[in-house]
Amino acid sequence: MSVEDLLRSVPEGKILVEYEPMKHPERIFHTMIKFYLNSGDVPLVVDVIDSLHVFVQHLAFQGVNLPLDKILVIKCGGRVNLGNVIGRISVTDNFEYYLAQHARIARKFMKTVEKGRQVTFFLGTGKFIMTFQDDPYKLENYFETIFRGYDTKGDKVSIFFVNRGVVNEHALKSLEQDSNYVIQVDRETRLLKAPGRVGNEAL
Amino acid sequence: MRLSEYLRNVVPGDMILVEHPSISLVPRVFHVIIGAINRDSIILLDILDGILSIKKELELEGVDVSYLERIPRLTGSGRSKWGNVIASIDVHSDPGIFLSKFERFSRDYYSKHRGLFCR
Repeated sequence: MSVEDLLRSVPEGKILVEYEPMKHPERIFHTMIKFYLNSGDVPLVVDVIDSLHVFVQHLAFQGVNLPLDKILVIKCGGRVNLGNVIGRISVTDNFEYYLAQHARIARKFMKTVEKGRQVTFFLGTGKFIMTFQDDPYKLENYFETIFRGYDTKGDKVSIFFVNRGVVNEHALKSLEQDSNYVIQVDRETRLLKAPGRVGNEAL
Repeated sequence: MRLSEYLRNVVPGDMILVEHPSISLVPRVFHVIIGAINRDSIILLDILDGILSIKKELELEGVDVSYLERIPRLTGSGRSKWGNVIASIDVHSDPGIFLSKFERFSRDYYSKHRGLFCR
Protein backbone atom coordinates (compact mmCIF):
# COMPACT_ATOMS: atom_id res chain seq x y z
CA MET A 1 0.00 0.00 0.00
CA SER A 2 1.26 3.51 -0.78
CA VAL A 3 1.01 6.53 1.53
CA GLU A 4 -1.57 8.00 -0.85
CA ASP A 5 -3.68 4.82 -0.69
CA LEU A 6 -3.58 4.97 3.08
CA LEU A 7 -4.61 8.65 3.20
CA ARG A 8 -7.42 7.95 0.74
CA SER A 9 -8.79 5.37 3.20
CA VAL A 10 -8.61 7.71 6.22
CA PRO A 11 -11.95 9.47 6.68
CA GLU A 12 -10.95 11.16 9.94
CA GLY A 13 -8.83 10.59 13.00
CA LYS A 14 -5.31 10.97 14.25
CA ILE A 15 -2.23 9.78 12.41
CA LEU A 16 1.05 9.53 14.28
CA VAL A 17 4.23 9.63 12.20
CA GLU A 18 7.11 8.62 14.45
CA TYR A 19 10.58 8.90 13.02
CA GLU A 20 14.14 8.19 13.97
CA PRO A 21 16.21 11.38 14.18
CA MET A 22 18.62 10.25 11.45
CA LYS A 23 15.88 9.31 8.97
CA HIS A 24 13.81 11.36 6.55
CA PRO A 25 10.32 12.22 7.78
CA GLU A 26 10.22 15.24 5.45
CA ARG A 27 9.66 12.96 2.47
CA ILE A 28 6.43 11.52 3.82
CA PHE A 29 5.44 15.04 4.91
CA HIS A 30 5.89 16.22 1.33
CA THR A 31 3.88 13.26 -0.01
CA MET A 32 1.06 13.99 2.43
CA ILE A 33 0.96 17.73 1.71
CA LYS A 34 0.87 17.01 -2.04
CA PHE A 35 -1.92 14.47 -1.58
CA TYR A 36 -4.15 16.84 0.40
CA LEU A 37 -3.51 19.79 -1.93
CA ASN A 38 -4.47 17.61 -4.89
CA SER A 39 -7.64 16.54 -3.06
CA GLY A 40 -8.68 20.18 -2.67
CA ASP A 41 -8.01 20.39 1.07
CA VAL A 42 -6.11 23.24 2.68
CA PRO A 43 -3.41 21.88 4.96
CA LEU A 44 -2.70 23.74 8.17
CA VAL A 45 0.72 23.27 9.74
CA VAL A 46 1.32 23.88 13.43
CA ASP A 47 5.04 24.58 13.36
CA VAL A 48 6.72 24.04 16.72
CA ILE A 49 10.02 25.94 17.05
CA ASP A 50 10.85 26.06 13.33
CA SER A 51 10.40 22.35 12.58
CA LEU A 52 8.90 23.33 9.22
CA HIS A 53 12.06 25.25 8.39
CA VAL A 54 14.16 22.12 9.01
CA PHE A 55 11.84 19.98 6.89
CA VAL A 56 11.86 22.54 4.06
CA GLN A 57 15.67 22.77 4.15
CA HIS A 58 16.06 18.98 4.06
CA LEU A 59 13.68 18.79 1.12
CA ALA A 60 15.53 21.60 -0.70
CA PHE A 61 18.82 19.69 -0.36
CA GLN A 62 17.06 16.76 -2.03
CA GLY A 63 15.89 19.04 -4.83
CA VAL A 64 12.25 19.12 -3.73
CA ASN A 65 10.30 22.32 -3.24
CA LEU A 66 7.19 22.51 -1.07
CA PRO A 67 4.38 24.72 -2.40
CA LEU A 68 4.69 26.92 0.70
CA ASP A 69 2.31 29.62 -0.54
CA LYS A 70 -0.55 27.11 -0.38
CA ILE A 71 0.15 26.04 3.19
CA LEU A 72 -1.33 27.82 6.20
CA VAL A 73 0.95 27.94 9.22
CA ILE A 74 0.45 28.55 12.92
CA LYS A 75 3.83 29.34 14.48
CA CYS A 76 4.35 27.84 17.91
CA GLY A 77 7.55 29.53 19.03
CA GLY A 78 10.49 29.85 16.63
CA ARG A 79 11.59 32.72 14.43
CA VAL A 80 11.63 31.55 10.78
CA ASN A 81 8.37 32.44 9.05
CA LEU A 82 7.60 30.08 6.21
CA GLY A 83 4.32 29.51 4.39
CA ASN A 84 1.24 31.61 4.97
CA VAL A 85 1.53 32.40 8.70
CA ILE A 86 -1.95 33.03 10.11
CA GLY A 87 -1.05 33.27 13.79
CA ARG A 88 1.40 32.65 16.60
CA ILE A 89 1.22 30.78 19.86
CA SER A 90 3.98 30.72 22.43
CA VAL A 91 5.35 27.36 23.52
CA THR A 92 3.65 26.80 26.84
CA ASP A 93 2.69 24.13 29.31
CA ASN A 94 -0.51 26.03 30.08
CA PHE A 95 -2.66 23.85 27.85
CA GLU A 96 -5.93 25.72 28.37
CA TYR A 97 -4.21 28.89 27.16
CA TYR A 98 -2.70 27.02 24.23
CA LEU A 99 -6.11 25.64 23.21
CA ALA A 100 -7.80 29.03 23.46
CA GLN A 101 -5.10 30.60 21.27
CA HIS A 102 -5.28 27.73 18.81
CA ALA A 103 -9.07 27.94 18.58
CA ARG A 104 -8.96 31.70 17.99
CA ILE A 105 -6.53 31.31 15.10
CA ALA A 106 -8.13 28.17 13.69
CA ARG A 107 -11.50 29.93 13.46
CA LYS A 108 -9.90 32.32 11.00
CA PHE A 109 -8.54 29.32 9.15
CA MET A 110 -11.96 27.67 8.98
CA LYS A 111 -13.35 30.70 7.13
CA THR A 112 -10.93 30.12 4.28
CA VAL A 113 -11.94 26.48 3.96
CA GLU A 114 -15.06 26.37 1.82
CA LYS A 115 -14.91 22.74 0.92
CA GLY A 116 -12.66 19.86 1.79
CA ARG A 117 -11.63 18.61 5.17
CA GLN A 118 -9.59 20.24 7.84
CA VAL A 119 -6.19 18.62 7.78
CA THR A 120 -3.80 19.72 10.51
CA PHE A 121 -0.13 18.80 10.63
CA PHE A 122 1.76 19.11 13.90
CA LEU A 123 5.47 19.32 13.24
CA GLY A 124 7.74 19.02 16.26
CA THR A 125 5.28 17.31 18.62
CA GLY A 126 8.34 16.00 20.44
CA LYS A 127 9.73 19.49 21.01
CA PHE A 128 6.40 20.57 22.42
CA ILE A 129 6.22 17.62 24.83
CA MET A 130 9.92 17.57 25.73
CA THR A 131 9.77 20.44 28.21
CA PHE A 132 7.24 18.77 30.52
CA GLN A 133 7.50 15.07 29.68
CA ASP A 134 9.29 14.17 32.90
CA ASP A 135 6.39 15.46 34.95
CA PRO A 136 3.77 12.66 34.74
CA TYR A 137 1.02 14.98 35.90
CA LYS A 138 1.75 17.54 33.19
CA LEU A 139 2.13 14.85 30.57
CA GLU A 140 -1.27 13.30 31.35
CA ASN A 141 -2.73 16.77 31.40
CA TYR A 142 -1.38 17.31 27.88
CA PHE A 143 -3.08 14.13 26.65
CA GLU A 144 -6.29 15.02 28.43
CA THR A 145 -6.48 18.61 27.23
CA ILE A 146 -4.90 18.60 23.81
CA PHE A 147 -4.21 15.18 22.32
CA ARG A 148 -7.42 13.33 23.17
CA GLY A 149 -9.42 16.48 22.51
CA TYR A 150 -9.07 15.75 18.81
CA ASP A 151 -11.22 12.64 19.18
CA THR A 152 -14.39 14.57 19.76
CA LYS A 153 -14.23 16.63 16.59
CA GLY A 154 -15.46 14.58 13.66
CA ASP A 155 -14.47 14.81 10.01
CA LYS A 156 -10.97 16.09 10.75
CA VAL A 157 -7.61 14.57 10.10
CA SER A 158 -4.76 15.44 12.46
CA ILE A 159 -1.24 14.28 11.69
CA PHE A 160 1.41 14.39 14.40
CA PHE A 161 5.11 14.14 13.59
CA VAL A 162 7.19 13.03 16.54
CA ASN A 163 10.93 12.45 16.80
CA ARG A 164 11.33 9.19 18.72
CA GLY A 165 14.74 10.34 19.91
CA VAL A 166 13.51 13.27 21.97
CA VAL A 167 10.43 11.93 23.76
CA ASN A 168 10.55 9.45 26.58
CA GLU A 169 9.04 5.97 26.53
CA HIS A 170 5.91 6.93 28.46
CA ALA A 171 5.10 9.85 26.15
CA LEU A 172 5.72 7.83 22.99
CA LYS A 173 3.61 4.87 24.13
CA SER A 174 0.74 7.18 25.07
CA LEU A 175 0.94 8.87 21.68
CA GLU A 176 0.88 5.48 19.96
CA GLN A 177 -2.05 4.21 21.98
CA ASP A 178 -4.23 7.25 21.41
CA SER A 179 -3.54 7.53 17.68
CA ASN A 180 -5.78 5.76 15.19
CA TYR A 181 -2.97 5.23 12.70
CA VAL A 182 0.72 4.84 13.49
CA ILE A 183 3.37 5.18 10.78
CA GLN A 184 7.03 4.55 11.54
CA VAL A 185 9.75 6.19 9.47
CA ASP A 186 12.96 4.26 9.89
CA ARG A 187 15.07 2.71 7.14
CA GLU A 188 11.70 2.03 5.54
CA THR A 189 8.29 3.57 6.11
CA ARG A 190 5.86 1.16 7.73
CA LEU A 191 2.27 1.17 8.88
CA LEU A 192 2.20 -0.24 12.42
CA LYS A 193 -1.39 0.38 13.29
CA ALA A 194 -4.72 1.13 11.62
CA PRO A 195 -8.25 0.65 13.00
CA GLY A 196 -8.76 -3.07 13.54
CA ARG A 197 -5.27 -3.87 12.29
CA VAL A 198 -1.90 -4.18 13.93
CA GLY A 199 1.02 -5.03 11.73
CA ASN A 200 4.16 -3.99 9.99
CA GLU A 201 3.14 -3.21 6.44
CA ALA A 202 5.52 -1.36 4.12
CA LEU A 203 4.20 1.94 2.76
CA MET B 1 -10.18 -21.03 24.22
CA ARG B 2 -11.90 -18.04 22.67
CA LEU B 3 -12.24 -14.89 24.75
CA SER B 4 -16.04 -14.98 24.58
CA GLU B 5 -16.04 -18.59 25.85
CA TYR B 6 -13.79 -17.62 28.73
CA LEU B 7 -16.06 -14.71 29.63
CA ARG B 8 -19.03 -17.06 29.97
CA ASN B 9 -17.28 -18.67 32.94
CA VAL B 10 -16.72 -15.43 34.79
CA VAL B 11 -18.67 -15.19 38.03
CA PRO B 12 -19.58 -12.15 40.15
CA GLY B 13 -16.60 -11.10 42.25
CA ASP B 14 -14.06 -12.00 39.57
CA MET B 15 -11.69 -9.31 38.44
CA ILE B 16 -10.20 -9.33 34.94
CA LEU B 17 -7.11 -7.38 34.01
CA VAL B 18 -6.57 -6.71 30.31
CA GLU B 19 -2.89 -6.00 29.71
CA HIS B 20 -1.96 -4.56 26.35
CA PRO B 21 0.93 -2.80 24.62
CA SER B 22 0.46 0.67 23.15
CA ILE B 23 -0.12 -0.70 19.66
CA SER B 24 -2.75 -3.38 20.05
CA LEU B 25 -6.24 -4.58 19.19
CA VAL B 26 -7.55 -3.58 22.60
CA PRO B 27 -10.62 -1.76 21.16
CA ARG B 28 -11.73 -5.06 19.66
CA VAL B 29 -11.13 -6.88 22.95
CA PHE B 30 -13.22 -4.22 24.66
CA HIS B 31 -15.98 -4.76 22.11
CA VAL B 32 -15.93 -8.55 22.64
CA ILE B 33 -16.09 -8.17 26.42
CA ILE B 34 -18.98 -5.73 26.24
CA GLY B 35 -20.74 -8.09 23.82
CA ALA B 36 -20.35 -11.04 26.17
CA ILE B 37 -21.90 -9.48 29.25
CA ASN B 38 -25.29 -8.07 30.03
CA ARG B 39 -25.17 -4.46 28.89
CA ASP B 40 -27.61 -3.33 31.56
CA SER B 41 -25.13 -4.25 34.23
CA ILE B 42 -22.18 -2.19 33.03
CA ILE B 43 -20.65 0.95 34.44
CA LEU B 44 -17.81 2.51 32.55
CA LEU B 45 -15.20 4.11 34.77
CA ASP B 46 -13.47 6.33 32.26
CA ILE B 47 -10.23 7.91 33.44
CA LEU B 48 -9.20 10.98 31.41
CA ASP B 49 -11.42 10.18 28.40
CA GLY B 50 -9.72 6.87 27.62
CA ILE B 51 -12.92 5.54 26.06
CA LEU B 52 -12.78 8.13 23.27
CA SER B 53 -9.87 6.55 21.44
CA ILE B 54 -11.46 3.11 21.77
CA LYS B 55 -14.78 4.42 20.47
CA LYS B 56 -13.16 6.29 17.57
CA GLU B 57 -11.12 3.27 16.60
CA LEU B 58 -14.16 0.97 16.56
CA GLU B 59 -16.08 3.55 14.53
CA LEU B 60 -13.27 3.80 11.99
CA GLU B 61 -13.31 0.03 11.82
CA GLY B 62 -16.99 0.21 10.88
CA VAL B 63 -18.35 -1.24 14.13
CA ASP B 64 -21.69 0.09 15.38
CA VAL B 65 -20.91 1.54 18.81
CA SER B 66 -24.09 3.53 19.32
CA TYR B 67 -24.81 1.35 22.38
CA LEU B 68 -21.84 2.98 24.12
CA GLU B 69 -23.76 6.22 24.44
CA ARG B 70 -26.31 4.58 26.72
CA ILE B 71 -23.88 2.88 29.08
CA PRO B 72 -23.60 4.77 32.38
CA ARG B 73 -20.26 6.54 32.31
CA LEU B 74 -18.47 7.63 35.46
CA THR B 75 -15.70 9.98 34.39
CA GLY B 76 -12.43 10.46 36.23
CA SER B 77 -11.67 14.04 35.13
CA GLY B 78 -11.35 14.40 31.34
CA ARG B 79 -12.99 17.02 29.16
CA SER B 80 -15.54 15.05 27.20
CA LYS B 81 -19.20 15.26 28.21
CA TRP B 82 -20.08 12.62 25.66
CA GLY B 83 -22.44 9.73 26.42
CA ASN B 84 -24.46 8.96 29.52
CA VAL B 85 -22.33 10.65 32.20
CA ILE B 86 -23.75 9.79 35.61
CA ALA B 87 -21.05 11.36 37.76
CA SER B 88 -17.60 12.86 37.57
CA ILE B 89 -14.76 12.56 40.05
CA ASP B 90 -11.62 14.67 39.95
CA VAL B 91 -8.57 12.43 39.64
CA HIS B 92 -6.11 15.30 39.94
CA SER B 93 -6.69 15.76 43.64
CA ASP B 94 -5.19 13.41 46.19
CA PRO B 95 -5.56 9.68 45.33
CA GLY B 96 -7.10 9.16 48.77
CA ILE B 97 -9.79 11.73 48.07
CA PHE B 98 -10.48 10.13 44.70
CA LEU B 99 -10.82 6.69 46.30
CA SER B 100 -13.13 7.85 49.06
CA LYS B 101 -15.35 9.72 46.58
CA PHE B 102 -15.34 6.71 44.32
CA GLU B 103 -16.22 4.40 47.17
CA ARG B 104 -19.08 6.62 48.29
CA PHE B 105 -20.39 6.80 44.75
CA SER B 106 -20.19 3.06 44.10
CA ARG B 107 -21.76 2.09 47.43
CA ASP B 108 -24.64 4.39 46.66
CA TYR B 109 -24.94 3.22 43.06
CA TYR B 110 -24.77 -0.47 43.87
CA SER B 111 -27.37 -0.15 46.58
CA LYS B 112 -29.72 0.77 43.71
CA HIS B 113 -28.23 -1.28 40.87
CA ARG B 114 -26.49 -4.58 40.48
CA GLY B 115 -23.67 -4.70 38.01
CA LEU B 116 -20.04 -5.04 37.18
CA PHE B 117 -17.27 -2.69 36.31
CA CYS B 118 -15.49 -2.26 33.08
CA ARG B 119 -12.15 -0.47 32.65
